[in-house]
This record gives sequence, structure tokens and C-alpha cells, in this order.
Amino acid sequence: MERSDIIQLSKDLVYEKGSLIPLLQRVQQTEGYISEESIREIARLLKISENHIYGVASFYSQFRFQKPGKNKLKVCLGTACHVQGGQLLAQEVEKQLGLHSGETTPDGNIEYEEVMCLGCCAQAAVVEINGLIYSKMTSEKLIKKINELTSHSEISASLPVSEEELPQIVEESA
Amino acid sequence: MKPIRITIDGRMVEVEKGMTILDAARRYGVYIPTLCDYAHLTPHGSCRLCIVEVEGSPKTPTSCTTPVEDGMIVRTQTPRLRSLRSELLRLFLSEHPVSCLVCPEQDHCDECMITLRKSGVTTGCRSCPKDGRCELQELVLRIGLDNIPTYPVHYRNLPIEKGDPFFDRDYNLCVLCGRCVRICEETHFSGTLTYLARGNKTIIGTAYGRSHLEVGCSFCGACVEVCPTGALVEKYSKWDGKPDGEALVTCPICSINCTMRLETKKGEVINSLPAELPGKGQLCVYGRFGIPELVNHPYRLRVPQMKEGLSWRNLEWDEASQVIAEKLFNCPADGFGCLISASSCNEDLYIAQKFARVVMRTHQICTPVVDTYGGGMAGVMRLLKQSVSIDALDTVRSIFCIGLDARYAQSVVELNLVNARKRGAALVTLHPKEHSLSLYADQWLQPKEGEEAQLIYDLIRAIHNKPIPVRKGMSKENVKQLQGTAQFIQRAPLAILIGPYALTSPNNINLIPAIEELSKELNALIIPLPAEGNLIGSIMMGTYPDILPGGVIISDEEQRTRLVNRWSVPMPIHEGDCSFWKKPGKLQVLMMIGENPPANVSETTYVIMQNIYPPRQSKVDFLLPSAAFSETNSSWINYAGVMHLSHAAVRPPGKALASWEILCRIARLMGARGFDFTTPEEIQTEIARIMGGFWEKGTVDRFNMATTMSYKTRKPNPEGEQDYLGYPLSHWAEGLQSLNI
Repeated sequence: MERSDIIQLSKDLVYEKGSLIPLLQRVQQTEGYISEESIREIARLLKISENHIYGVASFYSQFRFQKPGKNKLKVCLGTACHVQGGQLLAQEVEKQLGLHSGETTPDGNIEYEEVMCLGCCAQAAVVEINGLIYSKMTSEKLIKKINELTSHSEISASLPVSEEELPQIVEESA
Repeated sequence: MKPIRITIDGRMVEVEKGMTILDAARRYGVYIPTLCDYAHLTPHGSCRLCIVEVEGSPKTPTSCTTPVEDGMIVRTQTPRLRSLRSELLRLFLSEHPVSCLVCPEQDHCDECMITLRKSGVTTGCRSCPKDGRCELQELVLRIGLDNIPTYPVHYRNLPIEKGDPFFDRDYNLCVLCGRCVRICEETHFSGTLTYLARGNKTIIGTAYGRSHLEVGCSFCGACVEVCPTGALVEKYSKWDGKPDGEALVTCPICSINCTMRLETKKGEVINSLPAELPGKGQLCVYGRFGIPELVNHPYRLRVPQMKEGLSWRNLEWDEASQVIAEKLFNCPADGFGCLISASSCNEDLYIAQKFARVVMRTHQICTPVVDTYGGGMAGVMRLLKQSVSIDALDTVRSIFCIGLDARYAQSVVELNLVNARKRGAALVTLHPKEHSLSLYADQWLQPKEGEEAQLIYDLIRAIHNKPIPVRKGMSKENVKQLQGTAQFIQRAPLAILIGPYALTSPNNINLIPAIEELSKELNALIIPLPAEGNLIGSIMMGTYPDILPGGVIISDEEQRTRLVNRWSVPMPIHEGDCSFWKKPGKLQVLMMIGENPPANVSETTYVIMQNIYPPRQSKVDFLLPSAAFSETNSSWINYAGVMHLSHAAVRPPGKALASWEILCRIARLMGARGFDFTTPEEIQTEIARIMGGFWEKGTVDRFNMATTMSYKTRKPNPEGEQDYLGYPLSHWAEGLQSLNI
């Protein structure tokens, strides 16, 4: 984000330390993440060192430092999913895409996250792709899904889900 | 105010309101274990080791953050506390290697490890660089643990960070006490270190894992000094272990003359630290990390050497002084010239000019600063005559920094600036380039290079509410900014700091008068910070053709007569010329003390060089090894005219001698009187007698100090980097080459 954008975002804020978190939140809301450039400009504006800003932001899990991926892939590792082999799914993601939790593929296509519970334990093990929940997952099914994402990324990326909306469960046949 | 009474471990004591329980306990000699606590840092309460029992409270509060209250009954040593503290230590140790504490062979380790082997030994329980100096180790031994490895070891396996110069970082040894983060935050505008992430993933680091160089660390080394474990250690002295001695030595690298605590081992300087603990004491990167390499360099001169044909012959001192004495005996007065470094101590400077004037009967003595400052030299002298100490920043309400970049050299000033800012003082900085203050000052005036003087005159107009002419390249914003700045700096008292960039500016002949006018206008305190280690000293000792000891100008009849009577030598008024050494064809003998000979030195001139290092170029006929600042007792005068006494930390290497001692030997051989000095203190006594009460006062009397000098150079020619005895520091301490200067 450029300086002028940040000034625009911080119009109603006082330029002091206390404005740091609200400003970070606004930047993340607008851009989806906190870029190095944004931190540099915030540092100049609020007169706080870049390192301190990064330290504060990295304390809160709500802030992220990488550009969000086009497709969001989440593997649940909650208790029920764990029992049903969630860890194997996580390993499969690493094997297929080389991703650890919180990382994004270099082409920005898939962003991967390990989560603790998606609220549908009866359907364990579950994987969430772009807001849709896929239940009773196995490694084979996951590979299929990943292949879909990597080959037809533009198709499966087109399902925006708002935060309030309840996740829609898709029953996958074996 | 009514004192507060509290009871600590059954003993009733009197304390003041506002103290913490820990302060009170320490005052009365009661030991409470601490780890995150550090002098001059605000209490943090994170290590929890200082917990105490307070009667009436079910909890065990941390004594470092709990203020005393009247009637409080505190217990510091109970079975419950002891058990809690042991438990805390065990938690610490679940993330920290413990072999240094538990190995049954630890006492024999040192002996057994010293065996000839074909490969390097890197294992062994004593292989931590902080072994024997680690506060965690000490705490465990003091508090006592029955069985240490209760918890499974959580080794974080973080890579050791060795990429930056000067210090290594092994965060596997870090106990997250936060001292480094706090010292960085509290002493710098731009903090480098911060906590990253949270919970058990917390580590210390920088934004985006950048290197310290990238994030603009000034490498003051305070974090290394405050680190209780081996997480942060100096590269140079990493494996040296405990020092066996230390001395308080004055730093010669710039005019601030910080007092350093040099740690020594087996006759070598292994580390340099500020005299006071971080938070109060501070050194810049040159003083903190450049010194051991500078003084222990293998290239140091150790024996006198004479050029014979193309090779060098080693000599004993007797023969060397004899050869030089004969050479000088046959040299006419105007055929001799001496150039001495302004980073020499007072004793060397005084004896050098006395040697030139009494033995050689010439005024041809100078320092190369006349070249560095060129036409602005007189201006610099005027500033130095009225300068005050940076301690004044503790009381002013506004500060104006001109050409001062406090990132590397002179970074110690930043601590005063940070404290002044905390008090609410306004900070304005003027510098054409982005620098350490540009982001954090209230106003950053950014003139084009060479237009600094004009900007200051504009500022004076703004102070008088006069219209400011809008010149080419100036916007309305600039004018507004000037008016804003004028508001800031009119908050009296004002201090003006003038950095080396301004003092050596190509336009200094105009810039310095502009600064003087501004300061007169606002009745400001002046703090010039030249780069040379003893610039006022060189003026006060009289190492210039037309300046005599006492800093008096040679045309001062009364002072000259006093000196003539004392030294019993004729001393004609001499139309001095500081550029004699640039026309070396006229000189038969040129003596360079702590300087390299000029490049254009003639083949017929006999060049004698005294230095701690070998010369840069080959036209040198005689090399005399001298002692470095850390090897003799000496005295220095800083930018504010304050005298600093320095103590020898180690002996000079090989046969090296102090410069004054070398000159005295030669003078005696030439039959001169008044050179029977055996210690620097004797020289100090003589200087004091000439200048009258010179040494009794902390601040040197600069009333008679000369402010004019005859020089031909107009254009300043500053060296880009801090230097010592004719060389940039990074020539010898190579880590300094990586700094972004």
C-alpha cells in the first residue's frame, strides 16, 4: 500500500502509538494482508520502528504477512478430524504442494492453513476449500481436489463466501 | 515526606515512597534472585524469579514491580518461594541446554579438552561462550535445583545467526528476559529488536527476519552487554572466557571521548564496553566493536626499523634514537617539519610541539585537520571555544541538530536525544540526506547539498516573522515547514548540535557563521561534535605554527614571553603557514606522528614515521613503533573542553613506546634540556604550570584560546569515515566495512 492510501485510511486517527492496531486492521481489511511496504509507510507516519510494528502485528493471529492466495485450502485438525486422519491430509498437502500451514504456493494460487475445528465434527475428516466444506475426506479425494485447483484454478476460485454465511457442506461420494 | 516502614525477613527498615520491594531489599543487602531485571531499565516482571510473600496477600507478587506500602511485611526466603523459584528455573531450563549444569565431569572438562587432536573440538559441556559468566548458570547454582531435567527438553533448533558483523545470535540459548528488546527500545529512536509471534513460539528478532544491517541497527552493542546468557555474544571475544583485568580508557575515535571499560586477558584487550551500564553508558559501533581489532592487529609495529636500500633493518632503541638524533642535528630549523595526528593525547601533542620549538627551533608543526576543515577552521575554533557538554540536553526544551547523523559514529548522542524527547523537548534536524533522526524528529529540514547556510538564514527570517523569499525549487510547503520549525526552536532554552557533516561541509566557511548568527539570535547552547579525538587538545597544546601552549596566538606578547622565559629558547614571531608539509621539497626531515606521509613527498626528504601501524606508501625512511591509546596513561580534551584522564589497560606490544617517550629520548641525545620526563603525569604537571590550574578543573579554561589560524587551504577535505592515527578504522577492524555509510 502506498503512502497516500495509508494516509487516506488513517484520516480520522491521531498519529500516535495507540493508532497502530486500528490502522493495521484497516490495511489488512483493504489489502487482505500487511505488506512490507505498508509497514514501512506506517512506520513513517506514526514514527514507530518497522520492527516494533512487525512485532505487534505478529503477536495477533488476525494479521497476516503474505498476500492471500487465490484459493483457500483449510485442513481441520480438531479432535474428531484428528481421529479420522486429519494429520494424513495435512501431510498430503505438504507432499502435493510443499505447503505448511500459513503458506501460499509461489504462483499465489493456493493458500493453505491448518485449523482447529470447522464445526462439523460429525463429518470428519473435513477440508474447506474456498468456503465450501468437503466431508469424510481421504488422501485420494484430497489429491483429486488439489488437482482440480491446480489445473482449473479459475473455475473453483469463483465462489466467494461471506463471513456470516454458514458453510455449505458438500457430501463427496467415495 | 514521611518515610515508610516495612519489614523484610523480620527486619524493620525505612524506605521512601515510590520504591519497589526489590529496591528496598537491595538497599538493605537482602538478596532476591532476578533475571529480567537490569539497572537503568524499567521493571518488566517477566521472569517471575523475584517473587516474594507479602503478609495478607495470598499471591506471590514480583518484587520488581510491586511498590512498597507502609507496614508491609515481606518475606523473601520461604520454602514455598524456594520451591516456586526452582520450578520456574526448571521451566527455563526445559528450553535451554543444561549440560553445563549437570555433567558429572564438568570440573575436569577444561583439563580433558586440552589435548592435541587433529580436528577441532566443538562438543563438551563447557563449550558455551558464556560459560562462567552466564547469569542463568549462576542463578541455578545459587538457588539450587535437586533434579534439573524434570521436563522434556524443548530444543527449538533455531539456526545460529552469524550473518551480521560484530556479534553472533544463538536464540536457542535465549530465555526471553526481554532485556535486549527493552534496552534497544529505551535508548534508540528506531528499535531493532522486538518480540516476534507469541506463546511458546515467541522469539526475539527483526521485521521479516531481515538482517540487523538491513533494518538500520546502529550496533551500539547494548543488547549484547545486557544479555544474561550466551544468546548474544561478541564475535571477537566469543571464546575468550572471563577477562582477567580491566581499565577505564578514553576513546580517541571522536571528540566525544567516551570512557570505555576495556576488558583484558593475558595482556591483550579482548573487549570494550561503556564505563557505565547500558541505559546510562553507551558506546558507538566504533568504540564498542572496533577497538580490540584495532589495537591487537598483527600488523602493529613492534620494533624500530630503518630503511636500507629496499629492505628494512630492525634496530634497538639506543641505535635508532642515535641515528635520528644525528640526522636532526644536521637539519636546519626551517628544514624540519612535524605533522601530528589530532587523535593523539595531550602529552604526545605537547611534547611534539615542544620538540619542534625547543630542539629544532621551528614553528613548523601542524595537524592535518587544517586540511579537513579548510576555510572553516577558524569557524570551528570559534564554535569549540563556546561549546558545552551534551549533558545540557537534559534541561533544554528544544534541540536543533545540524548535519548530525547519529546512526554509527557519535551514536551515543542518541541516548540524550531520546531522553530529551521523552521529557517533551522538541527535536528538529537539518540534513540533506535521510539519516537516523529524519524519521523521528518533529521537523526534518532537507536542504540541497551546499544550501544549508541559506536555509538557516531563511529560518532566522522566519523567527522574525519576515517574509521568506520563495526560491527556485522551493514550495509553499517548505515555507510553512520553516515557519513551523521557527516555532519549535524558539522554545528556550535551545541547544544546537553540529555534526561532522556540517563542520566539514564544503560550504562550512558560510555555514558556520550562519549557525553562529542563529545561536546568537536565540541565545542557544552550542554543541559542535568534530570527528577528531582531541581537536581542542591539539589547539590547547599548541601544535600549530601560530598557536602556543595554552591555545594562545603567537602574537600575544605576554604569553610568548612567559614561554620564552620558561623554556629559555628564543621564539621569534613567526608568520606561520600550516601548509609547510604540503611543499615537502623544502623539507630535509619530515616527522609524521600518527599520520601517513603526504603522497607528494619529495625523494630528498627524510621521512621519520611514528605510528602503531606500518605506512601506507613506501616513502618512509625510519619507522618508530608507538603505543596506542590503550597502552599509556594519557589525557584528552573533548568537544566541550572537558578533560578526560585515561589509564593504560595493557603494555605496548614488542618494543613500542609512547610517542612522547620516543621524542624525549631523541631530545636528550641531542643535548636539549627540559625533556627528562619519565611518566605522563610529569608532563601533565608541566602543562598545568604553563597554563595555570589547567588540570584541577574538569573543564579547561578556553578564555585565551585562539580562534584564527593562518592557512592557505580553502576547500575542506574530510575523510569519509572515523579514523585513528591516519587510517580509517575499517582498515583494521574489517567488520566496519559492512556498515552502510
